[in-house]
Amino acid sequence: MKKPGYNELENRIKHLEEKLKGIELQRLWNVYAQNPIPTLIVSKEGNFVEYNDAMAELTGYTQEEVPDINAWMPKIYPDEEYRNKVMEISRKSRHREIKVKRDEFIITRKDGKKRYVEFSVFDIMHEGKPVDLQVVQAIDITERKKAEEELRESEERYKIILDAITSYVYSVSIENGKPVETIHDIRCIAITGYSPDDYYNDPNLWINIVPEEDRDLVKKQIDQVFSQKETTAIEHRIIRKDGEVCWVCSTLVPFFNNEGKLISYDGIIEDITERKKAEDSLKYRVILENIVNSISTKFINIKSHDVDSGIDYSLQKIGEFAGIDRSYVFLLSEDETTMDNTHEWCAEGIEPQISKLQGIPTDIMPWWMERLNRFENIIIPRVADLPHEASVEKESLQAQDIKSLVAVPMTYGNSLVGFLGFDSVREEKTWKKEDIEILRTVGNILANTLERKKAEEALRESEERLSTILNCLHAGIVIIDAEKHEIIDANPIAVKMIGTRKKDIVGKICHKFICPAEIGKCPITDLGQSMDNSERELINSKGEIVSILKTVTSVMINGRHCLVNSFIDITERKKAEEERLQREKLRGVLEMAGAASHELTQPMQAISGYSELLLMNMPEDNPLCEELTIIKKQIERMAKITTKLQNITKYETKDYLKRKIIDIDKASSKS
Amino acid sequence: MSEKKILVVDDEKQNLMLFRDLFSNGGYTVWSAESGEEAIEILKKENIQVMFLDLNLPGMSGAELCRQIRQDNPIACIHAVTGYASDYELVNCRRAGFDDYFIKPVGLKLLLNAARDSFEKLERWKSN
Repeated sequence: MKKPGYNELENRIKHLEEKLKGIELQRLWNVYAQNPIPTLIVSKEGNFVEYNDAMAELTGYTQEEVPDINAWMPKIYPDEEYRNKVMEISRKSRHREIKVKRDEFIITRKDGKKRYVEFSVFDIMHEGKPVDLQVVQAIDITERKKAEEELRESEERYKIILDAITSYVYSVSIENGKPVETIHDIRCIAITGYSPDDYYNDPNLWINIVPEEDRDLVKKQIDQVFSQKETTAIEHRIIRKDGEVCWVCSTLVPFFNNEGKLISYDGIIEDITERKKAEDSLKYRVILENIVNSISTKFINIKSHDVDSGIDYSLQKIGEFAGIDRSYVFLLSEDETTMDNTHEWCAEGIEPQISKLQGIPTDIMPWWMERLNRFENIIIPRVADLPHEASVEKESLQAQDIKSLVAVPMTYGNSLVGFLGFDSVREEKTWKKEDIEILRTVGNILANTLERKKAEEALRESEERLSTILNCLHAGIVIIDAEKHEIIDANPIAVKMIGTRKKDIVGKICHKFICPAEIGKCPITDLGQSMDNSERELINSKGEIVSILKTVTSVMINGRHCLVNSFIDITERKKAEEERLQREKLRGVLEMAGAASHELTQPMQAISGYSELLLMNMPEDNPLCEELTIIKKQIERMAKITTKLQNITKYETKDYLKRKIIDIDKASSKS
Repeated sequence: MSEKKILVVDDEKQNLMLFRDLFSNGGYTVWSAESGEEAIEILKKENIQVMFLDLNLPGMSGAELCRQIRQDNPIACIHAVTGYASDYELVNCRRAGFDDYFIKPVGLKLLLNAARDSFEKLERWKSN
């Protein structure tokens, strides 16, 4: 390394002397120049006033190569980002904006090697006041750093190894059938948190870390070893040094001497906590799935009137299993503007909410409804953590003392019908994602069942209405399959008119049963007639013909072409009609007879009267007397006929020359 | 009693003639009318106690005529002669105030007997 020339140094000293007014720089520098510690003196502007050999050795650059900060920085800090950071620190330090005492940097030497360097910075003081010069000393800490790094790595590796250890071994020596010494393998730390020394110092530690309820099991296993029985691996819990409960599997391997005497045994302790957790989780899932399966099976063939109790059962099953406090169903109104809490299960001691949650407008819970409408689950592990936009929901849930909640949408087809909710009131509960999916399945099962119930009820209502109408009708209704001519249904009036039980009618072929038409001559399907209030005949169960007024309508019922026969019994009407006709005829006869007899009696009176007068005034031996008597007698006969005519009360006829005439004798009440 | 008066009412002229001839021959003084109204006119002028009325008259019926006569004269013997008889008419005739009832064609002797009996009845009542 080339030293600065005398003149140059002279000039610089002069310059410094002028600037520093009496600082014995040379003396100072003599100290630093010989110093084995890499050192430089930097001015406020960044010029390197001094730069010793040790520094040149450290960096590989001479002062000529790096006369100031601006030349130095890019060389030893090639990374721009890192350099800018260092330059900023340097600038602030030189301008005394910050006080840098000691700091570590990575520099790149001229030969490209990287070194860890710790820079120390001192202000040069004159008469107790700093001047614009700073001494910078560098210590190569690369080796120390390497060692630190190695230690860290080794520690990490150790930790990884410890974490990976899932088992350790301990050996128990036996003398005279009694354990005398136990040696734990170092790996016990990883599993129990206790060191072999801990075990050595506390002879009861091994059993004390076993929770009381598992101790009998552990002792029994050791007893098996001593009684020279075959041992089986057992699973039990231990309480680690940090208080955490772990599951371990303990396997004991006994060793015997040549005489078959137990001299020692090894215990292999394996950490099975993860497996247990997985098993528990699996078990939980299996049980939950079983519950869902049982619910699903229950609902497959459920009767409409059992749906509500079925839902209550499902809510209870899930609620009890999941250990939550409340499970419930909300259903939206048809127009989705309100919702009702329709079903609820509460754990013991939990206040039911159902009565308060009726007719809730959906628009007051926008955050909630937005998620449900997107068919998203609502998962709230902590109600208190709900975001600001869910403040209404938060308030409402807190009013019900709810700490955690899960709600899954109940969907049917492409629409939201409601939701299934699970509240935790007593403590916070976190649900597993896959369990929530199972709840969702339950929600959909319930939604399907409820929709089916709704459809069935609507159908039943419509059927009931139809059946009520059919039962109330005063007309007989018989529904017939148009193709098979088989009777499908008959209403009570029809059954009464046919005169037998309904079950003896349904299923029969109508031909020759209730309809006189021959097979193949059905007036509707075969002869193409239409029948609208036509007078027809019905055959009743006794084979009697009943006069009916019948209308047949062709309809499709459940995809089947059917004939709806509606008819009324007109026997009485026919009889009444007949009677009316008789009465009308009788009236005609009576009017005729009245007129005839009245009109006839007048001339008859004259004829009979005068005949009688003549006879009165004629001697009895007069030959005319006999003839006059004949006239008189015939008039009397006619009088009898007119009397009969006047007393006609019935319509009676007799045959007369191929016609019917009134039978006066029979028709008259005075015959 | 010097003069025995009989009133005959019938719209049938032949019959009216017959009854007039019959009762004239029987020694009675016969008044005849073809309608109820005509009969009432006659009765206003004449004191007639025995009557034979056809029931079927134009205008006022025989029964109505009888009812009117009965209002002023409860004693008179009034007979109905009708061409058309029924039980119903008989009841009506009695209600209207007729004493007896004959159906056409009626025997003349029956009528003469009825007239004679009527006058005998009236005589008997007077002497009481």
